[in-house]
This record gives sequence, C-alpha cells and structure tokens, in this order.
Amino acid sequence: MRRLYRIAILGVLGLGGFFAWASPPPGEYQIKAAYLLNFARYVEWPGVRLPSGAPLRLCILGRDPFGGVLAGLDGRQVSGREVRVRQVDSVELAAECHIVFVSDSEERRLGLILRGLALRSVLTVSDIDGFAEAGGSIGLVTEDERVRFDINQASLQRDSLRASSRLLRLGRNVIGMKGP
Amino acid sequence: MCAAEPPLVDLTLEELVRLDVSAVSRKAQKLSETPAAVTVLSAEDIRRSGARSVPEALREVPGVNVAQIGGGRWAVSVRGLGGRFANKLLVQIDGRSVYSPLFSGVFWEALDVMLEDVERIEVIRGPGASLWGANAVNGVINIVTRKATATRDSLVSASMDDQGRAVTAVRQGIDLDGIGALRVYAKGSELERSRSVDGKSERDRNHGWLAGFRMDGAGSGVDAWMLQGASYRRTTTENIETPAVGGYGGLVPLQFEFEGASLTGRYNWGLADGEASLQVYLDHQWANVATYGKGTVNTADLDFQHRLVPSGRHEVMWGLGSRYIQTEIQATTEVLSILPPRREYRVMSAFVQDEITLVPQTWRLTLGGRFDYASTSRLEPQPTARLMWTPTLADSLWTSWSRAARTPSIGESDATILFGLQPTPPGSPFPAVAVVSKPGAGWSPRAERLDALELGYRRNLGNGSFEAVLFHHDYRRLISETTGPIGPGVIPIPVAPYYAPVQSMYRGNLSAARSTGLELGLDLPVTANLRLQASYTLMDTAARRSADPVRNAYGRILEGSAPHHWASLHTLVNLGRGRELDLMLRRMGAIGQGGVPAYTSVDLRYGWRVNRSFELALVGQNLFDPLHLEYVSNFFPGQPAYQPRRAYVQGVWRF
Repeated sequence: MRRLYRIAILGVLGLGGFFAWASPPPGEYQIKAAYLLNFARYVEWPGVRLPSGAPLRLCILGRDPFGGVLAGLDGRQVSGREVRVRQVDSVELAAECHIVFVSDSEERRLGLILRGLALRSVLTVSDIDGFAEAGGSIGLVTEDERVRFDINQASLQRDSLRASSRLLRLGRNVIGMKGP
Repeated sequence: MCAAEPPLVDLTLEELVRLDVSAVSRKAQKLSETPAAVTVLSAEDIRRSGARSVPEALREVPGVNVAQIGGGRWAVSVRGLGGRFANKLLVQIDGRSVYSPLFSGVFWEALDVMLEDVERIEVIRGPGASLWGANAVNGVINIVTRKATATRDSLVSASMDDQGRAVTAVRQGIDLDGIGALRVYAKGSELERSRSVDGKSERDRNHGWLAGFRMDGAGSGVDAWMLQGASYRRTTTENIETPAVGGYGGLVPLQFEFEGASLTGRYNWGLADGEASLQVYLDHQWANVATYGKGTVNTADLDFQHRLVPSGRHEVMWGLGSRYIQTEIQATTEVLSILPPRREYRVMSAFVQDEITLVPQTWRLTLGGRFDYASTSRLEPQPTARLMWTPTLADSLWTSWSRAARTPSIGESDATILFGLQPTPPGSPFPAVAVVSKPGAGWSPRAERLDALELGYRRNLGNGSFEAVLFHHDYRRLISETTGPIGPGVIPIPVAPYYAPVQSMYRGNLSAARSTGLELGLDLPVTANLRLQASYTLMDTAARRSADPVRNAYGRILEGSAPHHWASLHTLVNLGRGRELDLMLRRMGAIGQGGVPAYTSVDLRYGWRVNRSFELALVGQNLFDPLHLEYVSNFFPGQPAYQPRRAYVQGVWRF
C-alpha cells in the first residue's frame, strides 16, 4: 500500500511538469474576450463617469478564466480610448471599473456583487448561468456551440448606460423591453 | 506569456455571434476557490457521459464509487464505507434533502430527475457538515437544476434500449410576461433488467413516472425567487435469496412501491448590505414493501442564510435552520417490525462561517461550525478549519480539519429485523437459528462521529483542471451489532421441529474505523477537438478489531465495502459538423464484501447534432464484457445482479 502511494505521488509530480508545456487550446474564452472589447465599443457611459479620451477600465472580478488572453489586451485602443485590464478581488475596487467581468468563481456571492455595483454605471458581464435574468447587464450564454449574449435593458437603464441598437439587435434575449 | 495576439479580438459583433466554438466543454470552475475537494459536473459533462441517471453521471468523479445492484438500484458512496444505503452521504436536489431518515440513505431506485434540465451536479468529498448539516459526513451531492428563465423552449427526449424499454421526457417552457418563467415537465421510464449469473433475464423491474414544475422570477431587481414542485411514483421488483434450510428457500420476488411529492420555495434578497436567502420545503414520501410494511415520512424544512458584507479581512456567513420530520411506519411482521410506529423529530440548527484573508490573494483561512440539536440525540458541534494557499493564479494548496456527525436512523434506533436463518452444524437440536437484529437493551443512540484531515492541490489549466487530494478519516461511535442473548421468542420454519430459536444481535455505538486515501482528477484539453478526463482513487479502510465475532464481521463489511482502487478515462473527440465520439474506460478493483471480482468496462457514445433542434446519440455500454457483477446488495440478501452488454439510442428535440 505504502509503495502504491509513493508511486501515485511521483505520478502527480510528473503530471505537474506535463502541464507546464500543455497549453489550453484557443476557444470559448478568446471569443468572450472579443465580446468584451465589442461591448466597450457599443455601450455609452455617462460623461462624468467616463470623460472622452479617458482610459476605459476593464476588470475581472474573481479568478481569471481567460488564461492571459484578456491581460494581453491591456493597452489596446477602442473607440479612441485606451483599455486597461486588471484583476480585482473586492466589490469596492470593481465599482471603479467601467466593465466588470464577474468570474464564475464568484457565483455564490453574485447577489452581493450585483447589489454593490448597482447604480454605479458599471457594465457587468458574466457567463454565470442566468446572469442577465439575475440583474446583471449582459450574460454570455453558450448555446448550439456558439457564444451568444442576453442583455438586461432594465439594468442598463437603471445604471445610466446606453446600449447601441446594434448591440440590442444581436442579443439573444433582451430583458426588460416591452413589445416584440 | 501571450506573444501572438489572437486575431479573434478584431472580429465584429456580427461575426462573433455566428462563430462556432470548438470543444465547448467549459468545466464549471465555480467552486475552484473553495478549500475543499469539489468536482462540478456541468450539463455538458453529463450529456457526454451518456448517463441516463444521476449515479451513472457520477461514475467518473474521483473518490466516488458507483456500482449497479440491479435495474435502477445503485450503491453510491464517497470515500468508502458505502453500500446500498451509503449512510454517510447527503444528497440534495435544489436544496431539498433526499436522504431518507428511515434507513439513513438514498433510495436511488426511487430517485428520478430530468437530466436534460440539470445545470450541474456538485460533488463535495469529505465532511461538508459545517455548511450542509448532519449526515454530510463523507460527502455531499448537490443536484442543481436550471432556472426556468433558462429553459424557455420545448423539449422532447426519447430513448430506447436493446431490450425495447423506453424512457420518454417532455418539458415545456412558458414565459410569464413581466413575472418570470415557468417550465412544466413529465417523464416516464422503464429501466433495463439485469441478468442472473447464467445470463438469463432477471425479474428486477423498475418503472415509474415523474412530473413537476419550476418557476423563477426575472427582472432587473436583485431580489430573486424560485418555486418548484415534483411528484413521482416508482415500482421496483427484486429477487431475495433465502438460504435453503431443509430444502426450503430460494428466490422470492419482493416488490417495492414508492410515491412522493415535494414543494420548495426560495427567496433571495438584500439584507443589511449583505445577501440573505430563505428556503422552505415540504416533502412527503410513501413506501410499501410487499406485505412486510409500509411507511410515510413527512418533512417540513425552513432554512435561513445570511452572507454579511465583507468587512476588513472577514467575510462572515451565518444561518439558522429548523426541520420537522414525522414518520409513521406499519411494520409488525417477524421479518421487520418497527416500534413505536409513529415518531416525531425536531432538529434546530445554526451555523457560522468566517472566511479570513490573512494575506490578500495568497493566504486564506476559513473557520466554521455547525450546531445541530435534534430532539432525539444530543447537541452535535461540527467544526471545521480550512487553510488555503494560492501562490500563483493557477495553483492552490489547501488543508483542512473537520468533524462531522451522522444521526441514527429510525431503522437503527427502532427496528427489529430478521437477517435470515443460519443453518446449524449437524447434530444440533434445531436445523437453524434465526438471526435477529434489534436495538441493544438500554441503548440510547448517539450520532456517529468523523474527524477528517485533508490535503489538496488544484491547478487551473485554463479550460481544464487537475486535482489531487489526500485524506484521512477517523470514525468513532459507528453503529454496529454485537452478539446478544438467545431469545426471546422463536421463528416458525417449515421443517421439523417447525420453529427456530432466535439469536439476538444488539445494536449500539460500538465500532470504530479509519480510512486513508488519495484522489486524483484531471480534465485536460489536448487540442481544440480532443479532451481527456481521468480520475483515480486509492483507498484503504481498517476497522478496529474486537473479541466479539459479530462486531468483527461488521468491521470486515466496512473494510470490504469499496474497492481499494478504481480509475476512469474518458476521451472526448469532436469529429466536426456536430459529430462527437466518447470513449469511456473504467477499471474497478475487487470488492471484498460479497466477493465481487475486479472488472474493466468500455462504453462508447456517438453523438450527432443533426441540426439546431435535433440531436441523436447512440450509446453502447460494457462493450467487451458479456456479463459482470458490480455489487452484491448488503442490505437485503438480493440475488446477485449481473450487468450485460447494453445499447440505447436517444433523440432530443428542442423547439
């Protein structure tokens, strides 16, 4: 038995080395990163919150699921603004950002986060199941092997954010809009 | 690290919406921040496993031992000490416990869920008592169904196996304008039979239906609510093997009937800048075992939780709970009698947990405790301390100590059970003695106790993960039997002298055991179209020896209740154009109890997404082995049920 454990532990160490070179394939989170840049393009913040020419702060709240893809976008230009990417751990720090991607590591405190960021003109985005329905701004949904998004128009209006008609047209579901 | 910038980020919204995602297999990482051994099965994992029941979906989780006992009958245990009613495992559906207080376990044969609408299954190995309450000793399985707001379409799922038995399920999503969404569903199924050792079809039937609804509120508000209800009926038949005494004995078919209904409501709202939730559920269960007895269990449960707004380095969560259980059992035969027939239990519980950040982003300490006060046993404090070190964004190392309790079941405290006839050596005045288990004289049942030490390592592999956990469990006050006196009473038998004396076995908190093990889990995205999921478990249980042969026999049952090691490897291939191939390999070590030999099984699944609304799957199970045994029922002396080669075809329409 003891020998078996030793072999198993050696195996674990060997696997650790293997992971060092095995890099994850491109996929879902690259697409989600691309979505985040597009949301920066098609959402309008109040002037006091984001003066023209000021850098746009894009934050990840919780564990970074993008594997460096999003961090690689730091310093890019979007609609004449510089995008600054950072990872934050608290709701207070997240409230200073313009776009907050809520990592699914934060699911159990989702209500707390959404309440903390409400009325602060923060565009909240997440791939947590039912995020837009729960009161988040935009929920990313993987469906039929495509990444789609749901927009909560009522949340956007409450937070004084304006989504372009192009964004609203391409959303899978638009919550809080009357009529067809 | 990322030198070449991915070209994807320059795509427009229109292009993104149309883009196909290759290898969508987002392993939910939701609990990756938790200093505990946690595996989350996503809806995608469940679909790709070809599982048609919850136990089948759990087969690839490290530390979880799943063995089929018969048609729809399963032995599911976490970290050993299992069996048909693994009494140290808590199972919940959307926060409602399906753990039966009658026999301290889960009637898997009566538990049916609509797998298509399951969002995820969380498997927490090791004591989860400080958060989940009593009976979360060796593990917790949380089945979480999708919100009704996420299932607004219609679904029809139909499958048929090689014996011609069908499983059909329908679900209809309904938009409640301005309120939220509702779904109603119904499912009917007849499960495949097992084989006897000669390959003939057994009489182990399992058929029944399930129907229910779930309603969720929607909107921009941060308050959320949910209401759901379900009702079911299942009938199962299994063969009981009675030992031959004087030419009498053999196979007796035993029919079980189960009926139940439940209603669960939950409300989440903001309270004092934090987040609160209140959950209420009512649950009714009825079971009938042939002519031997029937019983009802009614449960009302109220649960309040409050997560306070983080202050400084502390993030505090606390809660209060109250549960009322009423049972009524009519069982007065010599085979099974339960006295008193009516029981009422009240359980009050409180828990508090503080997550303390010692060094931001690097060191975190979680202290917690749960206190259960049951009207039938003493106050059981269940504390835990967990320390987690996250040196990099991808690695985390954690260690924990926790204590958990398992409350005695009604069966253990009140039942007198005839285990069977034990033939006596030739020359004895009686051909057999009747072995009867009953509560020990003057025994006041206490909860079984576990102290657990764990050490875990987890590495986040972007789209995958690797996990290794070492555990040591120390069990005390385990409920077992010891040799009691001869008599009182006799049991009639059909051979001269037409009665057998009773050999009593007294139950009490008499045994102790230790188990040590290692669990490895890997989810590795190799290329965009190839993914590997592997698990390996190694464990050893040793029970304390005693001078009493009955207690020793119980110890040997504990030691032999799970294999020493088991492993699985699942290869997921995307063939393109909506075609998928899954190859699942499992190796199970031998199980001491019942003398179940080791086996290897190979399952194959071919999935084809024909178009946006129709999906087809062809599944072959146990392909290279005509017949194998997975478990021998330890609760009823059931006929060993062998599992044959199987196949089924399934179609799922969404519109």
